[in-house]
Amino acid sequence: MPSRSATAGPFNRSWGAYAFLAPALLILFLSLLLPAIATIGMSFTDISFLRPANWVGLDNYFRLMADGRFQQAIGNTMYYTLGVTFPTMALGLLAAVALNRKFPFRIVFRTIFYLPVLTSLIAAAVVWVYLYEPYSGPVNGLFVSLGLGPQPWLSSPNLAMMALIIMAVWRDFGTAMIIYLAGLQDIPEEIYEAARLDGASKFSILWRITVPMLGSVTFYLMIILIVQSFQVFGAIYVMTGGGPLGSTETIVFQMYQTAFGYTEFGYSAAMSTVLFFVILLFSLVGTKIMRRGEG
Amino acid sequence: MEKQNKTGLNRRQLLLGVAAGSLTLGLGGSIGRAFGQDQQLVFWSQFAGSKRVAGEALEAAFKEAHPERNLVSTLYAEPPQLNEKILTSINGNTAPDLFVQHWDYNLTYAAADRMLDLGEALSVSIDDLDPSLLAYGHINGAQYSVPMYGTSRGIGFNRAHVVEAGLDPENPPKTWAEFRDWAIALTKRQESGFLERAGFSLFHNDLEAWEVFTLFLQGAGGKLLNDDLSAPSFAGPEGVKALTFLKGLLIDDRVSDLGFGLGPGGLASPFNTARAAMIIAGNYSTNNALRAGIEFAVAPIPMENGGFTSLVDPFCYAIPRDAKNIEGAVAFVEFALSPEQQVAFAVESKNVPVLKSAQQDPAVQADPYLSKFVETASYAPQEAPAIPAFSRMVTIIARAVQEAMFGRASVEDALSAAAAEVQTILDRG
Amino acid sequence: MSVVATQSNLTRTDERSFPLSRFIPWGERIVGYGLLLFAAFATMAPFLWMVSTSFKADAEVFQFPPSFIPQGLGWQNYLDVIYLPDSGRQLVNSLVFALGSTISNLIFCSLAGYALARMQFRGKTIVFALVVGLLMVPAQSQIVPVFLIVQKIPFAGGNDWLGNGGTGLLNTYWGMILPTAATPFGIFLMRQFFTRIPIEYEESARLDGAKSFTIFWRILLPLARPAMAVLGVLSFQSAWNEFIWPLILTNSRDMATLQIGLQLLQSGPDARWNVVMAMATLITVPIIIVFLFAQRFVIDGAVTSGVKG
Repeated sequence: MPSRSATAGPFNRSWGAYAFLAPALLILFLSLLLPAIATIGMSFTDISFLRPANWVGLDNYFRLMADGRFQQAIGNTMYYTLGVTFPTMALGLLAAVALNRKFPFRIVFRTIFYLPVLTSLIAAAVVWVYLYEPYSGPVNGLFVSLGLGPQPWLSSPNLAMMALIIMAVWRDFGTAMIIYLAGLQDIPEEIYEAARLDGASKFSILWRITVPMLGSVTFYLMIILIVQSFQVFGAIYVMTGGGPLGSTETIVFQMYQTAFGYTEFGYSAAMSTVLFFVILLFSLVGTKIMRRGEG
Repeated sequence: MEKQNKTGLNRRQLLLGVAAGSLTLGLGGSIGRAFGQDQQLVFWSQFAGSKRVAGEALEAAFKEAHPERNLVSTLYAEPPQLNEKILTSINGNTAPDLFVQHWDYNLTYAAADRMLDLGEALSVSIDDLDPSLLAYGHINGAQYSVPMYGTSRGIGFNRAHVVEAGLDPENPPKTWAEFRDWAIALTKRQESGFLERAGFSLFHNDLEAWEVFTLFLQGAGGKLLNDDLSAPSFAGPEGVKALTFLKGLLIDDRVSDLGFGLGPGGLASPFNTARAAMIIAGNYSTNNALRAGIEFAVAPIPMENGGFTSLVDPFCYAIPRDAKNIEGAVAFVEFALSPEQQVAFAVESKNVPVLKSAQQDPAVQADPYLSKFVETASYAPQEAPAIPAFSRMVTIIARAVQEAMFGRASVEDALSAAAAEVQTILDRG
Repeated sequence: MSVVATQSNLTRTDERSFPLSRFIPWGERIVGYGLLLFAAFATMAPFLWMVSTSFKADAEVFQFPPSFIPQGLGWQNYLDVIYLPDSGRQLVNSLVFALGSTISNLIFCSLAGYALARMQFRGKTIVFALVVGLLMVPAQSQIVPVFLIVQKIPFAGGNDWLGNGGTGLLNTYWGMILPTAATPFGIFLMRQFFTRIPIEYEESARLDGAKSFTIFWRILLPLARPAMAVLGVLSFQSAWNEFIWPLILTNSRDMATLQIGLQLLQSGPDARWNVVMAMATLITVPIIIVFLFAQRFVIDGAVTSGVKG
């Protein structure tokens, strides 16, 4: 018996694994991989989906290198991503730790913190425009009462992106919270008890135990947030339409415009390919930093 | 032993799953097949929002008059969404027989030779239709798309504000100088500089930035493109004069603040919240201004030294070249262009009908706002910047306008850089 | 070790003997609640404002500065939404689409996530890299290719074995669900959570002779309940709010979802915003229900699953 399973084991297990993976991989192949390959192929053509396409080699990429507006969009998108990712993770963790204890109404609070994601984007956008209103909006009310001057927020090319970042953090931290909450459930209570017995402060428990124990969850969240932020589209489309002066134009916004607005699907595919590698680069750098932090 | 048995069962389960999966796929397929049969007239409509009631009435009337045509319509909310549908469906050979879309998209499809020449297909006399609206469907020497209706532009003003400022609402501005006087007189600021009310709120998004510039460019006697639409002409002396005038209103006269009232979907509109006395208005401004309780009034847009100008913006029918039911589609367009349907649609949706006789119909003229917009439409130029790259030109010009306003570039530099960019796109074709 | 223990015992007794310190947790609790309430209000304000606008009459919508509490509690906007011609059909379609997408994500992503976390097989690293890599493919560039793929599924919708001739899965629920039926987000999430479950659970079962699927189904899946609940909420919510695929992959009014209905309502520059907000509020209700249902499992799942050892 034992020798038999030893020889058959690896083979069987491999097949088992493939069976587990097959349905998901088939769907991913059809809905993502094939389109992604097609996109890379399209980036070497001038395809418009209306006229016969021509092979143009690397022309689209050369054009991108000289496209000042695209470079501005890359800069904007990176700024947005950095601005959104880390505050969202930090706030999500704080909220999760706070709401993981047993106390009255915690379900109510959890639901409330998750509401922003559920609020329809257009409704959220309308409210935030009012919050940022330069003259009578509450945000400037707060600024003035703190002795800072009122700011033109959405109508200033220097501040508009910051305003969108704040809104995105508001919208996303609830998602980070429930993912962290799920992660907190399988940290054994004994570890905390031991630390408490050692007289560790709350902060050091959070920093020395909770954060390292959540490493794999944090890694997941970081990648997801980087990816999502790099692909931001809806909020910007609704709030600023890319303005003022292109200061909130992001890569995906331009990609969409180029493809469906200008029917330059080939050029848009090149943007998409570049975006893919930029995200990949960011994710790798993020992973490196996290590994170093853990070590 | 038992272990192996279980693995076998597992594989069998998997096979079963695959079989069940393909069965359901097949089932789904047969439902899909049932959809595409018999001779239907498939119409993708964009008569949504405030045009929904008018659009449904039109379709109901057509069904009643032509039950044999078997009209099947689907409604799409915004031109970009309909555009996504059309681009995908043209490639999948599932395109509708007829659609109605914002004119600039139709030019893109037509330029790629995907549309039917309606000038030949329709038996409607083109001379009965408003030439300034019709111009937007004309490209490469053929009429590839035909308007259903258009919107036109005028100065929308708040009558209460005008009276309060001691101006005569029955005698609106007739020159730029008078317009400037109105804008200054209507502006209200507190001592701190806090803008309580803009005399004239110039624009709230890119499209409106392009629009206000174009209207004043025409007011100075200029045009966006040259006669054969092969080169931009907006950066000439007229363009410079127009943009300088607008910049003067904003920076020197401070009739508004940069970015005032910016926001999504018109809900933040400073005009509807009574925080702006004048805006560039269109037919679509009427409903919400009245709902908000504004004393809304419309005046034509003055040119620099007298005379008026305007813009029209049509939504047009188009029939794909490979449509399965061209005959039915043509019948629908002819029906929609009939005098009764033109009047009914215009009155219900408050848009300018394309049929000249319908524009002068008593029912249309009886509506105080619609009649005003019919009048302003008559000041629109007879030719149109009907190029497929139109939407890109809008973005480029809007950027140039704002660069000048924000002081990032001089008026001349901003405009000539934009013109160079537009030229590159036109040359690329 | 014993020194530490006695020390902490000492501090505890100290605390007990010192009366003021009893109030410190109370003070902390009050501050904590205060902060929570503040954060909750700041977070909730936009949602409340959406609800408040949905009750406003036409003229009140344009009041400036806006009122937070509506003047009257008019249900007319809600009635306008409910009596829209296609709203019932759209609700059914949205439910089918969202539930179908959620269920298939729960099944496929947990299976794949488990394989990637716990099973040994050739090409594991490549498959995992591929899944994470596919996260980075932007949806906006997929629109046309996915449409053509869904149309060309063989043997469906009158297609031959090469996928030509018919409409494939266009205009079917299957077609709508397909692009969202398994997501890299979900697979990645499940993999991360499965790796966190101590290996001992699995090893003891394996020693007892259980095979992969049994281990997965009987032992690991119950332990991963919090993660499954999160995946369920996120999948339901993203499908419920999905707009692009139902728009692109269907052509008829009969297949439209609530999000398409909402878009139709807010179309054009003269939309009635109070009615739009009423529909937006109604659309939110099912996701809140799903969230309330699922969040119990997020918190209590692992603790009460009782499969320990």
